[in-house]
Amino acid sequence: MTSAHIKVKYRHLAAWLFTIPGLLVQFFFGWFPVLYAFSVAFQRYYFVKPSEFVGAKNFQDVFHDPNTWTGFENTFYYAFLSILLTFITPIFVSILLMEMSRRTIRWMMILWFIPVASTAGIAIWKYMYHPRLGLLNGILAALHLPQQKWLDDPHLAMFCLVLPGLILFGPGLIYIAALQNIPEELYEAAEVEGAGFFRKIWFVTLPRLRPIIAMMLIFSVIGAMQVFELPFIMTGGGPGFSTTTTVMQIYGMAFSDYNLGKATALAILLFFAIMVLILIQRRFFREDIDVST
Amino acid sequence: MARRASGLLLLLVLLSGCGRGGIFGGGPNLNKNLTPSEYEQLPDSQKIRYKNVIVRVPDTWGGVLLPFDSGPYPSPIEKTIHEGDLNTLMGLYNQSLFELEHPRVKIDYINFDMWADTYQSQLAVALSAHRAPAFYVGRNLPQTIDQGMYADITDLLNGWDQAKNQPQSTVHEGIVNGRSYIMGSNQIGALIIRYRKDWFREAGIFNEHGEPGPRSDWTYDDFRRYARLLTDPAKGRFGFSDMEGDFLYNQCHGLDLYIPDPTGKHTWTFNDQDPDLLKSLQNAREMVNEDKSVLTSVSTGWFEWHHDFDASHAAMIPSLAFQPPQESVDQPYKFGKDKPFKDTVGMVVPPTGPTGINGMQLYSNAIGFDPTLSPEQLRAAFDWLKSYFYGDLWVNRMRESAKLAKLEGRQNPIYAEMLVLPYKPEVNLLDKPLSTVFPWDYLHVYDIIHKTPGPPLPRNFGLQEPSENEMTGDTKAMYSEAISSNVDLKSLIAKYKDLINRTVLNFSGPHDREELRRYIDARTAFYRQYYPKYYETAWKQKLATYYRVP
Repeated sequence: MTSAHIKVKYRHLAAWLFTIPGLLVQFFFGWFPVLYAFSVAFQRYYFVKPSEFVGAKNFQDVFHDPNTWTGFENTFYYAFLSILLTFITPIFVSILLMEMSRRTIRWMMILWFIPVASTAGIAIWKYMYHPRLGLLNGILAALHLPQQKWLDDPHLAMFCLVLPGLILFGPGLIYIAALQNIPEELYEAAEVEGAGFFRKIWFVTLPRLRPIIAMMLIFSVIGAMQVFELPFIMTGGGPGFSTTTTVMQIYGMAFSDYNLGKATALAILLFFAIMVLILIQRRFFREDIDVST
Repeated sequence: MARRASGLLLLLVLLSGCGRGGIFGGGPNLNKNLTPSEYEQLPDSQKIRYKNVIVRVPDTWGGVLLPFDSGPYPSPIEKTIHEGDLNTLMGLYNQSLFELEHPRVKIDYINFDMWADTYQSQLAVALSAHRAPAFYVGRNLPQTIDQGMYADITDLLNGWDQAKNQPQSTVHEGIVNGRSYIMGSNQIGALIIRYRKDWFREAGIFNEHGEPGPRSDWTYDDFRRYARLLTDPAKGRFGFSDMEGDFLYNQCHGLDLYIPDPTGKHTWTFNDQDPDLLKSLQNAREMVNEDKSVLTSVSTGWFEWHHDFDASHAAMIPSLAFQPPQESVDQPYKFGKDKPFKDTVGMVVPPTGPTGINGMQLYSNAIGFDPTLSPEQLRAAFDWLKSYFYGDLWVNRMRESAKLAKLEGRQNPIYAEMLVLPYKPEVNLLDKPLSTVFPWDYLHVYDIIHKTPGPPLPRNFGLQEPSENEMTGDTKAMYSEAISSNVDLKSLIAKYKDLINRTVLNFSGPHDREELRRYIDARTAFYRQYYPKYYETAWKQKLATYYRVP
């Protein structure tokens, strides 16, 4: 064996040695729980005593439970509202912001980032929405406008949950960072070609933002489909079941009813639902700037 | 060869000395049970090895932890001593005393928050990891018993002289198929109504003692009328605060939300047969939207409605009986210096419905034990709780609390402790009667609580019950929808009947009919004995119409 072969061999060995700790962590804390979940979904799971294999019963229970479909309906509705309001709006706000001076942009970014302390923010919003003692109705009353039930109105509750996300979640910061990397020459070239403000956005800005939008869309869809803390803290899933999401149901089944098998079956169903959404998204919305959609 | 043989021999000699009775600190004493004085005579190395029964005691029932850092002091213990942290020092003293009384036992104090929202998930994880406390609050019974989350303590309860003093309702909660899994805690109580005496005085409502507040035999109609009278939007006052639900209507009218399934297909079915269900939903809707006397919202929970009361937004709230006496000691001026707690906050039993029932049930925290404990650990854990509730440990902590209260100019906590304690302490520490400490209404409520019997429960007869959490969640959603929308209530009942029957009540056991009969017979006997008016005017009629085993 030549010394070059030995060097390559040791380089491979070293690469593996450096990778193995990371792989082990990824296996035990990432992949193993997922694999284990698939086995739990087929069991009547007990925390202390041995569990019982129940076949597909947990999946049957999940499919026959009318609350499952209510939960999915609410989750999709939340995801739709959330993406419409808190994903798309910041793109346009960021683009408009870029028209301002650099100093203003810096200040706006700071101001945008300050409220991103979501849990505390959620708790505050809960009290702002209170129908009788809340700030929002106080303002409406002061302006002699009709007061709203906010979270207590089944038709308004989901919108009220999404609204704080507009302020509390900062994808806009990421768009601004991406916008700052678009070469100025592209805009200059577009201007030479006679492009106005909106055409520059359409033909230069949005295509250049596509990779970051595609990535953020994946995160947003996954995040929205897994929404839990907002409805859990603010509405408990009500009024009625109007804000009960799938992850709330999973939590309730697992840790209130201790039916971990059924909870895991529902989690697996959600996992596949998210995966299908992501596959569809990746099929129709490519990240590569130069690939036509 | 000889050297190798002699080496092997030496190794064998050394190994033989490493056992329990060996020369490295074992000794024959370690295998037999020692008295405290025999234990004290052991050398340190043997003492530490002798203690092989580990009991993990949570902070809720006696566990204390030393400060995490020593600050400017040489050690945490010195910090505790010099800063006058008597509570921690008494905890350490009790730990040492109990260990000396039980030489085999080593008490490990741990932090374990039993009141957090995430308690159930934490407990599940801790039990799976064998890191749970030896005893903990039992919730969502009997599902958690079925989960195997508590040890069977039937034999320990049978040999306990004060077992009969446990609240009956708690005892019944913990019995499944004749075996007991739950011990009653040290605070006896019930769901009661706490109210603002000063607002009742303003409204001119006085009880049979001429004091401001509802009469102890008030009715549900009185309750609703008082809630209206005490509501004053200009002052931000509401008559009542509670989570979105039936506002006590169901328990005051003896309304069961599930009844035996007449078809026999399942054990239970949702009770849409009782006309009171429709009235209950109508009542909730009217109190919120027409009377506007209830402060509630979709986010209102136990802590919120208590905060509403403390913030002077609500005149009446549901509460636990042991809370007002304890708060009157711990926070005597929480409403201001000019409003002592006892003169400002009253308590009364829930109102009765037309058939003379108010559904009041005794309450104490149910305590379950870690099922993975060895018999010795289980016995030691049980002994700890007995001593902590009314034995040596109790006496020590009461004396320490009394001394601390005196130094800090607070009332002695022994009075509140004795009012709510279901057990008989081995030493009498009371220096004056409770009637000189607490107002009439506090004592009267506790008189009634002590006379309130515990009703039989389906689980006592081997019947499977729906998950309380699921049932509560679904019915809360039904009331929430009734309150927040204008949907037709009959169609709402039909919708939730379908939902609850498919999700919560979709089970039956192999011998349900016979067990259901025994259960209903027991309930009939219970009402006949303790609530004759309800038995004659309501229960008989229910039995004749829809409360029947197929």
